[in-house]
Amino acid sequence: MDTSPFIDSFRELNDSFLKLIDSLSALRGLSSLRVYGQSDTQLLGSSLDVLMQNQDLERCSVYLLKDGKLVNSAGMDWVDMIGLERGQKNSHVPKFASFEVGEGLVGVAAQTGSLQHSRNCEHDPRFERNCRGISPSSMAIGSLISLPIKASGEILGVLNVSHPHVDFFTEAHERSLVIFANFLGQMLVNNRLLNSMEHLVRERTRQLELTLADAEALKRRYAELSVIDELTGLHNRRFFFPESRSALARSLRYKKGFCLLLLDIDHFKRINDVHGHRLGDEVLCRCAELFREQIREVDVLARFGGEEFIIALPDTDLEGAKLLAERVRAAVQDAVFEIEGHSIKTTVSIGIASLLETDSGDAQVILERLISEADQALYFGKHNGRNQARAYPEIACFL
Amino acid sequence: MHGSHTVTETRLEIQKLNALPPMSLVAQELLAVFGNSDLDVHRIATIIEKDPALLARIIGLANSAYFGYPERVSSAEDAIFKVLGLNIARNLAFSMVLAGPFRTAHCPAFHVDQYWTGAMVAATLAQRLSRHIMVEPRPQGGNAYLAGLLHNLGLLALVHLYPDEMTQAFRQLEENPEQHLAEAELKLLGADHLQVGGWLGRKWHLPGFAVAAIENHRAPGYGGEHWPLVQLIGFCAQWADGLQRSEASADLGILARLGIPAAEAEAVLGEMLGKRDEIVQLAKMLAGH
Repeated sequence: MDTSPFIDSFRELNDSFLKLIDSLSALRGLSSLRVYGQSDTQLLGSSLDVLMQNQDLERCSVYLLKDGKLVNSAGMDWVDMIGLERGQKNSHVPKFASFEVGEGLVGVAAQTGSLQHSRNCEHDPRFERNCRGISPSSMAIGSLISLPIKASGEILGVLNVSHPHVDFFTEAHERSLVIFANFLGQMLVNNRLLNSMEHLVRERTRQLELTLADAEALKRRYAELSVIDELTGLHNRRFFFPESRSALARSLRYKKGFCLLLLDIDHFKRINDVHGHRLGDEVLCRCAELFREQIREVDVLARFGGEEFIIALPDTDLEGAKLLAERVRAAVQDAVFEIEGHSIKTTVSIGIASLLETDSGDAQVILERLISEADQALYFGKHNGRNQARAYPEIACFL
Repeated sequence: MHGSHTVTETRLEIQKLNALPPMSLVAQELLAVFGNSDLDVHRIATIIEKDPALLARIIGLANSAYFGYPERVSSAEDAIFKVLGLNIARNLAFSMVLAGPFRTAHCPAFHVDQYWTGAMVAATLAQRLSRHIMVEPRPQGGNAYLAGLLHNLGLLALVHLYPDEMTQAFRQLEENPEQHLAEAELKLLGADHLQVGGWLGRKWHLPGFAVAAIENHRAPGYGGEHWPLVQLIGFCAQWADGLQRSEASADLGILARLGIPAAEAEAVLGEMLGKRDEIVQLAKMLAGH
């Protein structure tokens, strides 16, 4: 029996097996590329490297479809693809930077969406249209395959492989290139999606940061606008001035009395030093509560600063103010603040100022004068033993 | 008179090679082993490791991306055991055996036994000397052996593809002993066997260190990634060459640069000299004489 046909076919099978391994290796290489988030050109460059490392395809290029034209985007220049002699190479490079859809094998591949294979380029009219007037006889190219890079039916570009020999590419080459190009198309689409998504995320992040900055500014603005003292819950100076000013203006207009009490907790620094700031703060709150209990609804009570409080008393004459001041002083003196196991006692000094019947004019100016007078009365009391209410009109002669 | 070839033509021819046929005795041994019903991996690996062409193809295939083996494979046993499996290895070897004899008959000036001796001496010597290398990266003994065995792989390809041109090259070498074979090849074929071996090694996915050694073992100033191995193979190739011509002509300075103490080097080289006849005998046998 003649075994040579068996031997031949066994050999051929083994040869195809080796080639198949090469083309599968190219696919495996492609699938393990970590190129996402790069430009199209970078991705295509790495992909063509994989193709060249794993198959006998050393001349490859990709033309991508851009604005209706096929533009050389990766791999070799066309002059290298067609093996133009070195001397005339460089001057011709720009000539082949792009092809029209439908122009030659490259263009037809994009137009029809099917693989174009020229087994003998020199005598192929399709190839001649990719030569731009240069005679194929001055080139070292035997065969060329141009095939579309597709994804979901859409044509993204054309993959070209050429070889100096005529009839070099086999059907196995064609089949494996189609699979390779399909993979490549999907990768391109994924990469573009990823890039546009990243762009979107960046844009959203930027917007979010702007919004956040706006919110921060608003927060600051509202803090400025706030009229409540955070610690005691009383009003603050920002509230006190316009409120008491308009109350004072009313009293001036209707010729009614108006008094001001300035209150300062005695030896408050000592409480802070002995019991700590937290307890000190609590003492301020308890005092604020006591003050609030003593006043009328029309009175304007505010925390004026550290341990200083202020009360504006519309429709009140000096006698009425002194009565209130005494009540407040006594209430503080009698109170025992039970805070965290400590029994804390304190006292308060109060300065009183009163609107004069002769006062007229700018409420703001008068208000500032009254505050200054109340302050002087307060410090008079402080210097004379604390825990007392003093009225400016009564102590003015001692100053 | 033969026309000379351009480097591109030669490269394209080389790249068509999917395999090189093994040498006659190895082919016979493999056929005998394949006839056995119970195949012994170790035995097949041992036979394959005797033949540079066969070994290169088996190792290269195991390193193909397709098999996805995470490490570089550099021995026949690993290639068969860990990656290819016995069937693929057997079929591949079998098809190479069937590919017909190595075309040395067309190139009578090529002495198979000398080729064998050169490859085996270089491999054995490289493995022994590699233990004493003191510079980094220190090559592993197995890798040194592989690189030594394959360092002239390109020569097999050239003799196989271009028997006439190579006959001419060998003749030129005889007439002009000062010349190196590579220079004659370069004139006739546009490329020498080092370059050709490199093309083949890359195409067949041989490990990087092997390709580097094949391509650069005659470049004294080589400083690439695997430079200690490459320089070691350069020395071993020189020494093996000198041994065949009964003259010790290798540059011992290379060993000094690799940090190998002179005493160790002398001991290893002396040992190899003592085995000279033994190795030549073995090479003749393997070459089928």
